[in-house]
Amino acid sequence: MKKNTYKLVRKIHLYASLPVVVLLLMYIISSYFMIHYEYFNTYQRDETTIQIDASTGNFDEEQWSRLLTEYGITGKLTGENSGADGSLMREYSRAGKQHQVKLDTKTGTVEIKTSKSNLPGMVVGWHRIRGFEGSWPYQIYAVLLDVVGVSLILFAITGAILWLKLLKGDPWGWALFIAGFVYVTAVVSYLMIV
Amino acid sequence: MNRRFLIKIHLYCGLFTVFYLVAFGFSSIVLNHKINLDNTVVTQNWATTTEIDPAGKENKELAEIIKNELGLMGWTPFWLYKRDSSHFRFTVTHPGRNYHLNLNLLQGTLQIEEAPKGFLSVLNSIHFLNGHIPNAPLLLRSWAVYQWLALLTMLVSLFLGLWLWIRYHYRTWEGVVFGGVFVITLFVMVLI
Repeated sequence: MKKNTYKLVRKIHLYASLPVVVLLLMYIISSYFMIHYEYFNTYQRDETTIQIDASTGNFDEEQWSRLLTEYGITGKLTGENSGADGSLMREYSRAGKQHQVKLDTKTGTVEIKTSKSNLPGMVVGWHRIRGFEGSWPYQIYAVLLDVVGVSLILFAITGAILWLKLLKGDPWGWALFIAGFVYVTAVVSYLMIV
Repeated sequence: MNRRFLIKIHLYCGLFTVFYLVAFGFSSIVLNHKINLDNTVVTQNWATTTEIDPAGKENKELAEIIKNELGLMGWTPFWLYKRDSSHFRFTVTHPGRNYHLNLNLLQGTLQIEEAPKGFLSVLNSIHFLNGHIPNAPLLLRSWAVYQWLALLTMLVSLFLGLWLWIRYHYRTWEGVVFGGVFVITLFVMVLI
C-alpha cells in the first residue's frame, strides 16, 4: 500500500468514527443494559393518570395539538388505534417517557397515562428510537443513526485494511480475525439452515 | 505504555469485533428505515403424525410440546395461535426461519411448512440476537458471551482510538468540528 493511500485509509477510519462517538458509546452502554435487563430494571415505570373533559364528537388534529400542548405531552407519535367502543388511543414516546392518551369521543373524557423510566430505561429509550417520523429533533436523530450505520461499516473495513498494513504477519491478529469470521459465519449459517 | 503496544491492542480489539460491527451497521440502517427483509415464501412442506393427546391442553402447552417433540428451535408466539374444533395452527419462529404448523386434532396428523427468512434477514437479526432462543444449541447460546466480549472490546477499542488520536494526531480543527458534532448529538438526545 502506498503511503498516501495508507494515510487516506487512516483518515477515513478516524473521520468515520469521530462523529459517532456519542451514539456509539450510548449503543454500547444501552446494549449492556438490555442484555442484563434483570439487574437494571429498565422497564421500571412511575405511572400517573389524569382524567380531563374534552369536547365530544370529531377530534381533529388541531384539537389534538392543543391537548398535547396544554398537558405537556411531548414525544413522537408511536402508536394510534381506535377501540371497539369508539374511543381513540394514541401513544407518544420519547426516551424515558411515554404518554398513552385515550379519548372517549362519546363522553368527552380524556385519560392521559404518563410513564417515566429510570436512567437505564432512558438510555435504552435512545437506543430504541428510530425512523424519520416526528419533529425536527427526531429527524436529525434519524440522520445521525444512518451516519452511525455507514460509519460502522466504513470503520470496520478500514480498520481491517490498516491491520493488514501494520500487522500483516502478526499471528494473534490473524487468529482473532479468523476466529471472529468463522464464529459469525457459523452462527449465521446455522440460523439459515435450521 | 508505548504507542505501538496501544495500536496493537486497538487493532486486536477491532479485529475481534469487525464482523459484529459490519452486521450492526447494516442492521442499524435497516431498522432506521423500517425495511422488512423477511422472506415469507414456503420452500419446504412435510408431514408427520403425533401421539400427543390435545385434550385438556392449553394452546401454549400444546404448541410447546409439539415443538419439543419435533426438535424445532424457536419461539411460539401466542398471537399466532388459531384453534377450532378440528385444527390447531401455530408458528415456531427464530431469526432465520418460520415453521407454520397445522395439527389435525382429530387424527393427530401434522403438516409443517418451512419458510426461511433469507441471508439479509439473518444478518439483520444479529442486532437482536442474545443467544436465548428456546432449544438453541451451544453454538447459538455462546453468542451471549461473544456479544458481551464484543461490547467490551468495542468500548476498549473506542477509548484507545480516541486516546491515540488525541495523543498523536490531534489537530485543532478536528477537535472543533467533531467536538461540535459531539455537543449537537448530546443536544438532540436531550430533546428527543
